[in-house]
Amino acid sequence: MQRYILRRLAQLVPTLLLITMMVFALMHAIPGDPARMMVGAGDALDEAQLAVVRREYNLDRPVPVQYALWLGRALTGDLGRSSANQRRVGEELLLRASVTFELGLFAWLIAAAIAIPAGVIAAVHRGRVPDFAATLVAVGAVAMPGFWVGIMLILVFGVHLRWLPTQGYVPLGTDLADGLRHMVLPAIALGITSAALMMRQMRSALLEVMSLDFIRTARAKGLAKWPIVLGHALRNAMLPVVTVMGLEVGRIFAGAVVIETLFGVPGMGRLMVQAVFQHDFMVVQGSVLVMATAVLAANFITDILYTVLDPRIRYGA
Amino acid sequence: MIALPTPDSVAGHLLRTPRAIFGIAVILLVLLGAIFAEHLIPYDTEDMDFDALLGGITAAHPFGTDQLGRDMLSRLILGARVAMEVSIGAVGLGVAIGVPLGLATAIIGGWFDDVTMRVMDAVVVFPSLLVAVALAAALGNSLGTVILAIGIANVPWLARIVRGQALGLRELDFVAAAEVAGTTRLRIMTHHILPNCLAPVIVQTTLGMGYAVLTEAALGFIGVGIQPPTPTWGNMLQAAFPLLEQHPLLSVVPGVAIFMLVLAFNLLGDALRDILDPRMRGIQ
Amino acid sequence: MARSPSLGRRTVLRGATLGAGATVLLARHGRAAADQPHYGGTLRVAYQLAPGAIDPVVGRSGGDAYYWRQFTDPLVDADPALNPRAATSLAESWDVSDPKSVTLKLRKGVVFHDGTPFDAAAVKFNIERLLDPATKATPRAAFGPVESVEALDEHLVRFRLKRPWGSVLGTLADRGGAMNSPAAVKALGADYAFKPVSTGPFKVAEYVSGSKVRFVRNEKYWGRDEAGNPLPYLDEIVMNIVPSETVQVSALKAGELDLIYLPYREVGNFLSSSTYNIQSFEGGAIACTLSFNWAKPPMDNVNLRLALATAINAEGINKAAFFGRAIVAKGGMWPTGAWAYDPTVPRPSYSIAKAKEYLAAGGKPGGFEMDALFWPSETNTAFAEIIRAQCAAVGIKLNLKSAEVTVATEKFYYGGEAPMFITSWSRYPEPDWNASLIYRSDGYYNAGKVKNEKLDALVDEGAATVDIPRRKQIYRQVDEIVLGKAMMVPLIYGVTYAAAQKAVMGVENVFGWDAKMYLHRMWLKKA
Repeated sequence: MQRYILRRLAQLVPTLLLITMMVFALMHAIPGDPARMMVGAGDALDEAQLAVVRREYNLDRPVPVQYALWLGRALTGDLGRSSANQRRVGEELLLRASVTFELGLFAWLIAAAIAIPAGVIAAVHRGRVPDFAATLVAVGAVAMPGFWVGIMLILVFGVHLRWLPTQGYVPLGTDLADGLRHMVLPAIALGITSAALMMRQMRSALLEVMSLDFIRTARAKGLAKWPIVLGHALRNAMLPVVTVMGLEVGRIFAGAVVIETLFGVPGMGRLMVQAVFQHDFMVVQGSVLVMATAVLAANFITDILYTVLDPRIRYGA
Repeated sequence: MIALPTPDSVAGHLLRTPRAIFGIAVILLVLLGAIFAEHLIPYDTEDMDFDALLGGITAAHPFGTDQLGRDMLSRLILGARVAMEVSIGAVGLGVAIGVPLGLATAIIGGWFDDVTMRVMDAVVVFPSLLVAVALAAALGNSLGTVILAIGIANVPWLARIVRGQALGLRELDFVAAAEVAGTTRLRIMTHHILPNCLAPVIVQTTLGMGYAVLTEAALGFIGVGIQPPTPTWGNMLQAAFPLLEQHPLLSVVPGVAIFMLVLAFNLLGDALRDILDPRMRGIQ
Repeated sequence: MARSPSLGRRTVLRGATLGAGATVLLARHGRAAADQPHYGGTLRVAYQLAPGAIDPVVGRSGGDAYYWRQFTDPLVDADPALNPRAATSLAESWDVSDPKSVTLKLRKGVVFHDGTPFDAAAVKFNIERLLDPATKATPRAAFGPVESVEALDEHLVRFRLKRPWGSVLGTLADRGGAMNSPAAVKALGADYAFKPVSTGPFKVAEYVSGSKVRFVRNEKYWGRDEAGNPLPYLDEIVMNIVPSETVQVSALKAGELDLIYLPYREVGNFLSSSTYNIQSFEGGAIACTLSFNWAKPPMDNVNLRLALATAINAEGINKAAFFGRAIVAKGGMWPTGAWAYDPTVPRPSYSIAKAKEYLAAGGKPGGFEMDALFWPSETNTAFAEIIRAQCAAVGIKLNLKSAEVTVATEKFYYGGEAPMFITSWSRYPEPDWNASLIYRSDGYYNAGKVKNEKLDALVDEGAATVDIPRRKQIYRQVDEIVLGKAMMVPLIYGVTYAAAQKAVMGVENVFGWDAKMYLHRMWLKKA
């Protein structure tokens, strides 16, 4: 197990390196002189400043050298300064990433909290009204863009009913209740697709397990349905569900870009898109690094959980 | 050898499955609309009537008019063309790269397999929306850029599926027999392994087409997709959002169109999975 | 800070399209003026863009002014027509009669928020800081005429000039004229960009990245209102960064915000309800204009440019893209409300028949096809689409290409990638800012770097002249050439609208000369 964990951890390193290299290449493929983009047009344009900017951001060096310089400093924890606003990228990302993590975690928890019970109920009542209703909702939810769900939530709960705020972000640390109120609508919009997918996975995994011999035997022995489901079937059915839940972390991060824009949440997704447009290389590099690390970590934890949940799996060297 | 359902039996199954019939019907409808758009649209999509801005449902404009007085039905139909182009293009690109790549990693193995799969891992983790934004910045906003961005995101999934299938199949008797008989690797790949990968690839591509429609909508909504005046369901939603309260019809029309088409792809994909993957039959 | 009571165009809405709203606004204005200001409270405001920096000098985004206006004072302030106004300026008086120097007499008793005295040495430090390329100051180029700065005594400062500087007073009213505490700048280095310390009515208390900027009252502020009461009235301002205008409007309606910029599409609804205080400012920007590359075919041909200019019906654009709430342009590139604005200069007007004549004269009787660049936003996309449709009616086929605003700007003016750019233009009330940049042969916005000797001479003369009536004549001559040859075709002048909750008072004072919000005269009625 330990060796497996170490080997998986070691695999993350080349993947992360590849990702940062790809971002670097992609950013440099964007036409236009990055120094001119930083200094700005019209009355802001100034030759003396162009020279300063080129030197300061190493833009006068070859691209591979620029990458190496960035990587070297990133390894010491220095992600550089934003070219758009001169703030330290590390500081900025710490703030922005914590917002996205909060939102993503909340969305993910809401999704799981809806999906697992709904999936269990649907499986237990297979073919009857609860199953039909849950499946219908899930199939519908997967076919709707998350931002569209968000628009509808704003219209209904924000504008018409005025139950919940429709914009902004209050850190959970400063005011837990208000922070959660601000988080509800974006989290639902962000998590709804994941909830539907988790629910369907839960349902089918449980049905599959329940069709296995040992469950049938237990039922034949006269054990009641719910204790069997909760005591035996659920644990075995959780395996594929855990995998899906792990994979959904990536989807939630990708979705955050649009949802953050819609709800005015100052997270990393919005920052990243703006940074691409502003040619803010340091911010793009830094935020992709953070996001990729988070998604890879989630996948890694999923793998480990998988082995914990299923004692039959033993990972060798 | 794994029993692959014959095309006839697949069609037979599909036509007995209501959700598959629904899916096929909607997709066909959209596809026909896309192909014959010029003949179907009642108005030129750029004809503006400044005396009929934000018009409601009338006989002349069954879906109303938008903020520039353009016929929504006509724009919806032309948007269907973009939706089909994006979904077919993106998934086609994914298949064209992902399937050979998956096969090659399975057959060649070794360091090639390792490196390719690490790259695929990296692509999966890379937020596809960011790829789209960066490509739009690099290449400009066009149909090709959108197809490229969504297509790239499809590659790793298809490569992984095909690789997994191929690795499983390679262990099986009929492939081993072929190897013993001296058949070349390439021939084994194209004649034995590829046909057997088809089922999961078909399922994945069907679902991937729905996903492509959703991604186009998201890109259009944040303004990095295909740009006006070409109407797409995504950029129609973007233009409609500010007018949501005043004129919700503008948001409802493309929203429902997206929902129906994605639903159709998903239901068809599910039905295909049930039929092509007998292990799952009766459970989903 | 005593603002001029004669608010002119700021409060009086003109034009038939705005008729319905005008009476409502005037009635509200009258009532608001009768109330006694009340101290205290927090004003919650929203703005679309996060600051590029809060320090006025290094921020690169035009929207930054929204933040730095709250905590800075200009060396020389201006009224809405951009006439200099001493009462609200850090300089009590100035002497610009010598073409080789500018002398400012500074207000006494002003201190920075950190207690550092504001004096001639501080001004010298500030100007030298922005002239140093390493500062990467945005207004560095605008201060190009400055040779050196000397502190003559504690409250007298002189700029030595390399060349005459006609636009000096307007430039000192903008970001380069905002003063930063030398002590704080030295102490914080690059981190100063988001922790600025200045002289203005509020102090920067906190910046939560991408989320909000919080300002608190500057207890030691020097400014007074007309009745001699100390400013500002509010204890605190929270500026929320809310990128979506739609979300801003719904948050205002839900009571989560007190004051927002009102999008055009909402103006009608808000004016017809009496739940909010509404304020407008004409000429906030040139909301829609055609810009050409005068060297790139087919737009090197004056007749084809005139064909375009006459093919476009600006009334239609106003109606559909601006919901009838903006103003159809009657003059050139100096906006309504500025002293340089002159609506009497002849310019091409909408006429399909004329457009066809110009096409024939330009050698393309059947029309032509070309690329047109634009940058997408809700309004820009709409007017670009309308312009395309209107041009199609006379046989001109525009292939619309879009890119994000900074990219599009570089592509068009630096890269020379398209013959036409459909864009909007910031409010530049000081005419030389536009003239030197657009019309001079070496100007950045002269995409083809085309030389017109007469224009060059006029622009240089305007830039070197201080006397406003004389400058007005010069810029009228510039407009005659520019509009007559359709070198620029401004189509729509913007109107900036603000909407506030009923309890927010002083809204009639919210807009400064740059159409940005100034919040130090706002106050909240007790509930």
